[in-house]
Amino acid sequence: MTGLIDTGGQSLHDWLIDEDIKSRRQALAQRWYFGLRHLLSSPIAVLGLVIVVALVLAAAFAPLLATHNPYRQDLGRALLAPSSAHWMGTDELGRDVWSRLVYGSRTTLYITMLVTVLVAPVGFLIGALAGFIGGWLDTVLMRLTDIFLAFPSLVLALAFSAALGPGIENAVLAIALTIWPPVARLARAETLTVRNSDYVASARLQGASTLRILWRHLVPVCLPSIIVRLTLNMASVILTAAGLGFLGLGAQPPLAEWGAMAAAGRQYLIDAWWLTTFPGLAILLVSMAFNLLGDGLRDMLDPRKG
Amino acid sequence: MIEIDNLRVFYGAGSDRFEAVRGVTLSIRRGETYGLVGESGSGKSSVLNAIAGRHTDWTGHIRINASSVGPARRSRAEKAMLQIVFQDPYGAIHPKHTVGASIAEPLEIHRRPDREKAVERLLERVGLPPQFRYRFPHQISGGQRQRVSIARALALEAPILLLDEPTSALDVSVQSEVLNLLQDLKEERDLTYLMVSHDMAVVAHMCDRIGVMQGGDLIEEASREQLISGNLEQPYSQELREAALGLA
Amino acid sequence: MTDMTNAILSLRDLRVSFSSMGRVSEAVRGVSFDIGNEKLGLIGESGSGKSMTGRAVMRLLPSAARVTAERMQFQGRDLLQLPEPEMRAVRGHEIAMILQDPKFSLNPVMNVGDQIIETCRIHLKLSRRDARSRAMELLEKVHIRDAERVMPLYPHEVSGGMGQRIMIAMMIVARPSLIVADEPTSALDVSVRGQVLRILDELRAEQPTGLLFISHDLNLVRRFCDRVLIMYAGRIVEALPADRLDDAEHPYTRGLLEALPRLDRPRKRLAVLKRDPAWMEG
Repeated sequence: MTGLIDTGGQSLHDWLIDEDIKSRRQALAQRWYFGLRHLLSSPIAVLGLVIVVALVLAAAFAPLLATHNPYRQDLGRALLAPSSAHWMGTDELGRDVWSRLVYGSRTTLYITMLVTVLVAPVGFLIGALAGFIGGWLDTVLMRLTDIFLAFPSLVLALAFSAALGPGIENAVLAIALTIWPPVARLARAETLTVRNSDYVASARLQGASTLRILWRHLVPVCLPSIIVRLTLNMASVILTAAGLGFLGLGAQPPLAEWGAMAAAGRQYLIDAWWLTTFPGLAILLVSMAFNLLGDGLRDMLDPRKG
Repeated sequence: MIEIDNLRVFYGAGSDRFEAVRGVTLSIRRGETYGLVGESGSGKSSVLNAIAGRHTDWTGHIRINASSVGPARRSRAEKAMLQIVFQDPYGAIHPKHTVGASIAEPLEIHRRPDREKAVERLLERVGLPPQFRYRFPHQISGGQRQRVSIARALALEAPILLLDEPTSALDVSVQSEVLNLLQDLKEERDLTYLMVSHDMAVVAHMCDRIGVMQGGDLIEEASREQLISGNLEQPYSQELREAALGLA
Repeated sequence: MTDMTNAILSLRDLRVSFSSMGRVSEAVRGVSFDIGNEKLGLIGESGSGKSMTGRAVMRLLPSAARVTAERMQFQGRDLLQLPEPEMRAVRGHEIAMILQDPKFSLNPVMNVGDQIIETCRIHLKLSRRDARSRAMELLEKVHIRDAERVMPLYPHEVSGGMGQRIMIAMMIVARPSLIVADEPTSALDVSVRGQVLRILDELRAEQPTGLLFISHDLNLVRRFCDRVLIMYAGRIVEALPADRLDDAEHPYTRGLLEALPRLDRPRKRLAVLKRDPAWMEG
C-alpha cells in the first residue's frame, strides 16, 4: 500500500493520522480518511455503501455477469420459471431476466448520474444567487422554485416527459426539472447562513468578486449538504424513472430498464411472478441503499456536528 | 490616516430605519493606535464597518490616507488600504479551507506573485510553523486561528488594520500573546490601528488615544495617560474604567 | 478553609473522565474544596475543567461522562448517590445554576411572566393570582421596575442583562442554599454586569447562600469573591483569599496575572505565559 503514495517513510496509517501534516496531499488524504472511518463506523451506512458499490460494479462488468444476451429473443423459451439455466427465469419474449436486470443497472446508474450532474450545479447556482444577491432576484427565483415545488414530482415529470416525448434522455430531463427546487432551497438556506459570516466579509474586503465568493467560499460549504440531499433523493429519482418506464414514457423497448421490465411483467403477474418481482426488488434495494448511504453521509458531512 | 467627519450610520429601512451612529467626527494619525470603547449598541462596531466598507448605509465623509471614500463599491486599490481582524476566531476563517489557502486568498485575488513563499513568510511572522499551512481551522486552537487571521490581514500589506475586539474571545494567556504580536507588527511595519473594544484595560494597554462611545455618540476623547490616571470628564467613561478595574 | 461543620457543599477528589474510541481522557482530575456561606471564585482558562466541575455538582454532565468523588456532600446528603428523581428536586430547589447566556435557559415559546408564575406555582404551590403577585415582587427584587411591561415579553425580546435578571428571579423563588454561576456576566455589558452582581449580593444578605462563581475574569473575581480557586488542566493549583490574589505563589497564577493588561499597573509589554509540564501534576 505504501508504494502508491509517498508517505515519507511512515506507514500509511501513521501518515494518515499524523497531526504534523507536511503536505497538501496529506491534508486532503487525512480528511478523506477520517470521513471514511466515520462513515464505516455506522453499519447501516456501510450496508448502503456496499449495495451502491455493487450496483456500480454490476453496471461496469455487466457483460461478465450476464449469463445470456439480454436482448436475444427466443420465443420458444418464453416465460420459463427460475432454473439453473435462467436464474431469474425468462420474460414473455424469452429473454433472460437476470441478464436484463444486470444490464438494467446501467440504465439506472445512467439516469441517476445524469440527473445529479444536471441538478447539482443548476440548483446550487439558482439557490446561491438568490441567497447571496437577494432583493428582487431572490423573490423571482424563489417564487419560481415554489411553483415547481407545488406539483407532485411524478405528475410534473409525467407532464414534461409527455411533452418532450418518450425516451430516456427526455426522462432524465423531466426528472431533473422536478428535482432541482429542493436543492435550490437548500443552497439558498446555506448561503444565507454563510453570507454574513466574517470569512465572507473578509473575502469581500479583500476585493473578491461575487463569482469568486460563490465558487471558492460558498461551494465548499453548500456542497456537502447538496450531496447528502441528492443522495437521499436518488431513491425518488429511481422510483420516478421506474414509474415513467412503467408508464411507457421512460426507457423504450428493447432497452433494459427496471421500471419498464416490471411494467411488462404486470400482465403475467399470476403465471410468471418473477417478471415483476425481481426488477421490483432491485428498485427497492437500490432506493433503500441510496437512502441509507445518504443518512450516513449526512452524519459524516454535517458541518454542525463539527 | 483616517479622517471621519460627521459620520452617521443607519440600519434597516423605512419606518424601522435606525440611526446607529449619530454624527461622529474623529481623526487618526499615521502610526497611531486609536481605541473606540463602548458597550454593545454604542455604535462602535458600526463606525468600524462603515470605514471598512462592510456597511454602506451612511452619510458624512470618510477619508483614508487623504483620499475620500464613499459608501458605494470601492476599487481594489482602496480595498488594499485596510483589513479587518475579527473578534470571533471561529467564524473569521473559512472552515473548509486550509490555513494556507485562507492566507493565500487575498494574494490570489490581487494576483500577487510568489504566493507560496509569501504564505510561509506570513506564517512565520505571526509565530506559526510553516507546516500549519496544511491544517484546517478545526485542527488549531483559537489563539492560533487569530494569528492566521492576522497573517491574512497582513498579506496585502495594508497600512491600516481595523481590530474588531481581536482578543475578547481568547483566554488571558493567549490574549497577551496576540496583543504583543499586534504591537510588534505595528512597530515593524508602521501600521495604523483602529481598535474596537469594550475592555478599557486592553485599550489602555494598546492605544495612544481613545474615544468613548455611548448610544451612537462619541462622548469623549482621551489620551492613554488620562485613561490610566482616571482623568476623564464623562461619568460614563469613569464607569467603564471602573468596570475594567473590577469595581462595579 | 471553611470548617466542615458549616460547609454547604463539600467536595473531595472529584474526577470527571470521558472515554472515546477506547481512550480515556480526564477533564477534572481530583478537585477538592468546601464552600460555606461565601462567594467562592473558580478561575481557569478554557479547557481547565472549571465548567465541568460546576456541572458535575449539578449532575448535569452528559451520560458519556464518568463522575467519581470520594465525597460530594451537600447539606448532609451524598449527591452522587442520590437517585435521579430526588436529584431533580435538589436541582432548582436547593442548588440553582446561572449560565452565561440566559437565552438558552429560558423557554423560547413562553413569555417570561408566565415562566416566573409557573415556577412560583410549582415551587411554592401558590394559586395563579398569588403566583402573579409573587412574580411581580420577584421582578422588583431583581430591579426590574416596569414589571408589567416586561412580563408579556418573550425571551428573544429582552436584553441579555434583563434575561439574566429574570433567570435570577426564577432561581430565587426556591431560595437555594447553593448557587452555581457559570460565567454569569461574561455576555453582559459592564454597566449591567455591576447590577447583576449587586443583585446576587443582596440575595446572599437575606439568607446564607454559597455561591460558586465560575469565571475566566481575574479582575472581576478579585473584586467580587471572598476566596479564589485557580484551576489548571483539571486540578486546583492554588487557593487563596481573593484580596490576596496578587500574592499568588503558583507560577501559573503568577503567569496569568502578569499576562493581564491592567489599568492600575500599566506596562510596556505583557508577559507571555510559559507552560510548565510540571503543573500538570499539581
